[in-house]
Amino acid sequence: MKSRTRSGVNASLFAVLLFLASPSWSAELKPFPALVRVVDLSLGESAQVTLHNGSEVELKLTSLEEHRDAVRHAVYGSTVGLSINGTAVALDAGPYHLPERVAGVQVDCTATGGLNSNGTPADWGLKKDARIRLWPADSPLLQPGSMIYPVDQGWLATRTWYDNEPVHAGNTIKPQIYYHAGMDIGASEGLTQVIAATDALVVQRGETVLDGHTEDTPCSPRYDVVYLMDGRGWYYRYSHLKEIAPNVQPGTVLRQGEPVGIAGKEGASGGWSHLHFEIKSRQPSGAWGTQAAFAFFHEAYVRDFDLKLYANARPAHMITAGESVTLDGSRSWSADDSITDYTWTLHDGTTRSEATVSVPYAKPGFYCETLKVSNRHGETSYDFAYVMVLDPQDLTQYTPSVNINHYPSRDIQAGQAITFKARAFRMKGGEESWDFGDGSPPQTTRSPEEAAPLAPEGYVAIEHTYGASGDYIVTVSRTHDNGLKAAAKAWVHVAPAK
Amino acid sequence: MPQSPLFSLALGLVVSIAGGASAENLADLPFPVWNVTPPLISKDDPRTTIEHPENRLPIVVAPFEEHVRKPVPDTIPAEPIDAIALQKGTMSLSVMGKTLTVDTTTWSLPAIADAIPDSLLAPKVAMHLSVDARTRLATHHEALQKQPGLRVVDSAEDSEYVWLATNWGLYCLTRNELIRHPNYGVGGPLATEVTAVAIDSRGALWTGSPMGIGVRDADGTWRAIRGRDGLPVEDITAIKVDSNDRLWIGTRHGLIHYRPYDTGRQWYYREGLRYIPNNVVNDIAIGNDGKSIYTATNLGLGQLDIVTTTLEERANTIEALLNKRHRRLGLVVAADLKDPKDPDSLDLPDNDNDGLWTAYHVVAMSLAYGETSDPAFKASAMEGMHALYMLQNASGIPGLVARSVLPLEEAIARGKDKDEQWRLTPDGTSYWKSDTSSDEIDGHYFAFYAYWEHIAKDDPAEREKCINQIRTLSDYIVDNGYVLLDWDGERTRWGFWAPELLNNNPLHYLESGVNSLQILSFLKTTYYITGNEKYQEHYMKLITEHHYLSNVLLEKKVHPDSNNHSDNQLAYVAWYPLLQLEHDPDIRDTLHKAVRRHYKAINRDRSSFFYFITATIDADYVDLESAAVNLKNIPTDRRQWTQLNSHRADVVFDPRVDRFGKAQLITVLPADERQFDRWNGNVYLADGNRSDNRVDAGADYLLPYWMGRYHGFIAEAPAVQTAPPTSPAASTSN
Repeated sequence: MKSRTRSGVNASLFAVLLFLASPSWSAELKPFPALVRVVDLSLGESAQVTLHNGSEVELKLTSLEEHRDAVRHAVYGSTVGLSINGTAVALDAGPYHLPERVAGVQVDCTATGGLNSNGTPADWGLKKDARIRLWPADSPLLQPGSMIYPVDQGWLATRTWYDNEPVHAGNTIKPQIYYHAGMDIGASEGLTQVIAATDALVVQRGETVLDGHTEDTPCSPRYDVVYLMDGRGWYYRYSHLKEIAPNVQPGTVLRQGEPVGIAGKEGASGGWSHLHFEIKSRQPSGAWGTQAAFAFFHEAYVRDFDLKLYANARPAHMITAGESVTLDGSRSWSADDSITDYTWTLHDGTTRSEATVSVPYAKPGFYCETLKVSNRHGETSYDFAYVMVLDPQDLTQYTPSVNINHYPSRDIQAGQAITFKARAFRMKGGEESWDFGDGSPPQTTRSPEEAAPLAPEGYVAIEHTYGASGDYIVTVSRTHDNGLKAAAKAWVHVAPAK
Repeated sequence: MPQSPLFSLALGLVVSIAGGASAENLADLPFPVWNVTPPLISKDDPRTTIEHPENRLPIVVAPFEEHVRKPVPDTIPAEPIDAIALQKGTMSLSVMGKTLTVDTTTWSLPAIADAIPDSLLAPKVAMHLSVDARTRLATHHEALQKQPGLRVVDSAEDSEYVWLATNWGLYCLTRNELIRHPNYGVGGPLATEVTAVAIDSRGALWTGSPMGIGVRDADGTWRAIRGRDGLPVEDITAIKVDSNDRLWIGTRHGLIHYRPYDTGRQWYYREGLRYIPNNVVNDIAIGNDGKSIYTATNLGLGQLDIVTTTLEERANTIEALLNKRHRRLGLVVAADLKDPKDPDSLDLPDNDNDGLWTAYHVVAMSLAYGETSDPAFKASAMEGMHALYMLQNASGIPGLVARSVLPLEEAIARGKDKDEQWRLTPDGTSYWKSDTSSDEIDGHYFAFYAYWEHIAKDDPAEREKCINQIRTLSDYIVDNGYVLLDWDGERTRWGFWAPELLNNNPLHYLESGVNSLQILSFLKTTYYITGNEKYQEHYMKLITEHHYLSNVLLEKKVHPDSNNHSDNQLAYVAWYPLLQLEHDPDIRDTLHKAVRRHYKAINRDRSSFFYFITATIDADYVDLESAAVNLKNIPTDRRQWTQLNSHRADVVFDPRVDRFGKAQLITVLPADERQFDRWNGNVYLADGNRSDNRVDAGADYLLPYWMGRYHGFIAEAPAVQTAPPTSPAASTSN
């Protein structure tokens, strides 16, 4: 065995991996350290942290207020009191939050103990009260170029469940919450390409796991799952793939951007077509845990696609009829802090012009609310907030819902055909009514009610071509026999034909 | 009939193990062999015992507390009550926007007023807040109202602070300022939605939330109490502390009593109509020096009284009610309430095992008489025994026992004249039910033994009658080849104990042990009572020629997916006479091994009945303490209220369902938290069968109670005239 002098957990892990893996890749996949520093703290606990640039940070967890929703008591975020080098900081944390630049560092909090209280503790490997991540104030979150967005799809073009967002999963609402771990990106089944986010060694293809990666790794064989390992020693899970690309073979190295497969709804997808992308890394507790990736995606996408502005109306909400929900567009982003206008167009046609609005819902149903943001450069962006409004008589029952995706979703030109797909869930009767937002007559489809979750015919597809450039809001809606209505929307930005 | 391959395999397996198959071979079998025959290993040698303190027995059961619901008069509306306050005999209730004043001596309503709407303070707070606290809080209304929709839902006060539970956190009002607690989830309440707050005399601050309880101990540290810590329901709505620092906790599904500073049992889950009028508990008031707990529920006011009682007092109450309400032709029967609100509106239907259930009571009363010589017990036993004789004689065929008997008119009213299983008695005055099972016969011999031993043996009027009855019954079985022939000359479906049916017969593998045990017990009892060697000869013949003792050694069948709780009961009913009567050292040693093996299969059930019977031969091996505790937990009220537990946060389900496909728990809940049945049902079921209007006679309590007393396993504490200053419950631990 060759002698290697390295320090740190990841590095020593690498020594083992390099020894075990075939020599062909070790020359190709260069190990490198991650920029992020992860610290798990208990309330009142302090830690001295050395950032990747060598600077020292004195960190203390001074308070922690977890926020839970009223229906499921699921943690949807928290206010974290930190002392950073003696400066008191109140950090807003939760899904779709970016690190804050405060007290000379960039900092976020990606998990708190409440997730363990009614979730699945193994997902995070968090054994203390809060997980804090730190970078130097002026540092990128990742080495530039070391990660790209893993699907050929527009930013927030589809439904997502990101990081620890509480998922509307299963047939009934149970006390145990499924906090998502990783990034669920809605995608068009059979159409959307999944690509390698990083240079990586293929450690699992379906049921086959590379020797040396079967024990004490996140790998878990399943026919629709690929695991890749990158130069940081992080494992990347890609699941629900309809097809796995032929070049994905255990022991080989994929270059960033090479195909991993085609998105689908295989495996434990619940029947909705999406890529489950999840980074697993060694956490301070010693256990494998999910490395929150929203901020990484944001950084990579903004740089790679020169994104200047995006609306963000997420995460999804769940309330009971008769209550109000706070729709929050304040996590919309612009490169130069240039957002001037937030407009919410609600399901009843009314509009509200604040970033954060409180909206009452009298009737159960599955609502989709539209957020439009504009900046001072005259650019606009749209996003949608899904609100599931439960019947207070039975808080174990989800409402019917509908899911939408489209392909392509980037660089669309007038005259180009777009494939839209939709699937209704927990729906009985009715049909999908499509409004493409361009004044064309409504179209109807009928996704099957009784189809098994993984049935190939689960989604219905419909093509549409926009004749002129512009921003179009596509709405698909369907009404259950019991009168409950479900709607979903997509934003299509069409450029003039070349 | 063709043999099922599975049963053939199972049978072959038993034989091969008996023949000493090697462990290697057994490992290759398709299912684990220990599911078929638990091995008797060296520590199961009946000569081994567990060390106990010198004076272990009897276990003296001191007076203890029972929670008994007391109906509240109809003057209180059965409507959602938000809040309740109690002051010097006057109760205030917040009902649908009105404040009702209640005089608790007369339950009249001297005043009904419209409540003043308050967007900040919930009725519970408006009702409880002291004048001083209200004044101090008034200066902070504006600060609280800055948080949109904030509502104060509960409050607690000590000399210094006022604690406010709100839907946006826990607030502390000091003399000068209002401080919002900084931490939620850890280091504070479990959620920002704080639903209840209370202070105890030891300085602990208790907070409720939809996630469970967060408690700040006197040293300032916070800890969570959730399902895994014993909290049955986490969705907390109210917390009140009594003068002994014991908690009454309201939830959205039931009431909880928690004794955080006590050793022994700390949690009492009070769910369903046995305890409260509705499972949504909004508020709680503690009255009557802590002896009455009033609950404001979504369906009116509940009163739960804490009654100090003893096992014997409970036995006497049950016995009195049994004689008043549960006798039908002298039989002891369960009743159905015609009017759920009227305990005297009883229907006494027939039952397939009227004899077996009556036998429970005959044995209980015989033992009670044996223990106390109180003639009332003898009379009660005699009434039941004579009813059993009536069942034995009704068919007119000597020895053919009836399952049940109904007088002519009642039988016709119940449609029995159109049911072929029901036959007219020879005198034409009644109908009797045929197709009598081994279960039923098992009960009759159980009663014969105890009645003879404690009553008939020494009573000239009863002696001959008893001998004649048992001889007729036994002859009918023995002379027909160990089967029970019905009126048509055919064997009844379940009435068989014959070697050709039990031995080497895959169809009856499951009955081979328990039925062998029964017939040996029947014959031994008959021999004991009649003195006729004929029965002893049959007994020995079944042992020596048909290996019935070997059958008994493997009597309990323990397939995990088909654990038959009813067979446990049938076996123990047969075990009891046999264990008292067999003194041959070799046979007794085998019986000892067999009953210890059976006990191993049920030693987590906390069955007072099975434990006491096992203890008559194996006392040092038996968890008699749990048997005594279980007796304490059996409610005096024998109404079979539905009790649900499957929603609980503190229970763990067995991954396997029971043999009827029902979900079961891995540990047995206290008997006052689950539906009780007559020692023949699955005690691990999460949810009881729904039969709110069924009232059991209660012999299932009297039987183990008097058995425990008679055999010296339990004893009542000597009566103390002047009560000690401490609460009597403090001396009981369970």
